[in-house]
Amino acid sequence: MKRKKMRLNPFRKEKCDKIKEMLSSYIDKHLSPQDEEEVRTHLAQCKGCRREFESLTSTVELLHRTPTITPHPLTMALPSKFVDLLAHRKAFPRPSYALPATILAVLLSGGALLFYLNPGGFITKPTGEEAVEAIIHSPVEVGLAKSPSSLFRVASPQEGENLVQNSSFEEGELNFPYYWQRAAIYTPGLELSWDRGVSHSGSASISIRNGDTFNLYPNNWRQVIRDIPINKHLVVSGYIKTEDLSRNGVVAVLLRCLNSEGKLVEFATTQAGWGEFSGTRDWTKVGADIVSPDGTVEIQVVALLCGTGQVWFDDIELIAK
Amino acid sequence: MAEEKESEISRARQGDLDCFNHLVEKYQTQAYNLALRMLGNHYLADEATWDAFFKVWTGIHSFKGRNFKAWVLCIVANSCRDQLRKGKRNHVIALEIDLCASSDESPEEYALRQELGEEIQKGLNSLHPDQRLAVILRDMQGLSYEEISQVMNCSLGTVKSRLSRGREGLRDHLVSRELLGARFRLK
Repeated sequence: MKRKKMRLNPFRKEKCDKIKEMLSSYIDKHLSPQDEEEVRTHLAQCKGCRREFESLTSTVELLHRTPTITPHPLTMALPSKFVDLLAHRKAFPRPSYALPATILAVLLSGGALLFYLNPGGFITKPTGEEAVEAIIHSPVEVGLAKSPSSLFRVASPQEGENLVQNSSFEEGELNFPYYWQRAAIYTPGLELSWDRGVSHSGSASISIRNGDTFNLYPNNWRQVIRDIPINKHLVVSGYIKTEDLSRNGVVAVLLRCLNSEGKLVEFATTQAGWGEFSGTRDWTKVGADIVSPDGTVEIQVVALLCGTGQVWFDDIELIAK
Repeated sequence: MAEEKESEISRARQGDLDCFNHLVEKYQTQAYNLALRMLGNHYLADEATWDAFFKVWTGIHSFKGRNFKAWVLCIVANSCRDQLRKGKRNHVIALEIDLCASSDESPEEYALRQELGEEIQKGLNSLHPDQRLAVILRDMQGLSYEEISQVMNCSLGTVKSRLSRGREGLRDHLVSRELLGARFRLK
């Protein structure tokens, strides 16, 4: 006996297609009362469409169950600090010869750095609050002064004078070049060292090596200079060499002007572009300039790495123009 | 929009950092999660979130809309599109979406949940970015259709259509991986 071939009723197919178009909105109760009733009635009669509806509902339920990811504390803090920086920049405009690229770089990365380096600023309240606290209160190791005078020297800059002590890192003892301090969150794989085998000039430099992909804190060497006269045009420069620096790694020399309350009032970075030192690069000169605004009582010269790989710094100078 | 919020935005627009920071604090998790689901990668999501908040800050003077959240998410979505255009997807590492576990879960259920998480992100990645955005905004972030239309700058009809296509695409992906129950498998 010849079996009769089943043929889908074209009117029914058209109806099913129409209903399927409405299923997504039906799930969200976003149909008119008439359409909703039409879908409900059809689903009660049509097994195929009902299965379609149930599979879509299951998919939506799965999506509803996906949790919200809490961003890394640093990520959460970045935009805020970043804005803090911009506001300072607005309040204390740089000279017209400021490099747009420098500003861009600050926008791209400076916030992360500042978050670490500006304990007086705004702090978000992320879930990982402890981690954020750890960054702010990260230990700054006390360095060594060559003479009995304070490690934080008082500057009375003359025209053309270099305000940075021990610029070439030639002098020091133990594992410290004189006048420089280390500030870091130490995890296995991180090392800040006084390297007496690699240099741009002389025989020594400072180095930061980080092999820990989870340590993306802006670990740094820094020198603090106190009592800077205000409204001085200051130019910072230095040489940087990198090896196997991660693509998103940030390497820079920063200048930070702080007021008597320890609050940041001006900021500059030598970073001229995103990932500019990624990979391996031989000694390259970098620079930035700044005008120390009213109220500046302290300048910090900071050489930092935020990323993985190794970086050396040498001949870091701060010249008063 | 609540009066308090409106005044906060207005003060942020005048350069009040505390207010702006408060707004950032309020929306950054949502912004970050949108970028994360759109791009499937923490690093790219970081970049897109950063980029977006910078644009929010520089463009807050021009904000004249009524829904600040939708405006912020619109900027985040555009930053994600920029990332996708740059071809950075080559570097995308599959992101595992960890579905919320039930309390009495067996090892088999745990394994299935892990696989589901991975496949959901793969399924999202396979969608057209507009469909992906609609699905994320609606089903993962719980926005209303009206808000989605503001974020995507399109009509309600287009939202419905993109959402419908996106859900179907994701459903088909999960069914083809046999992760949505035998009864839903394609013939």
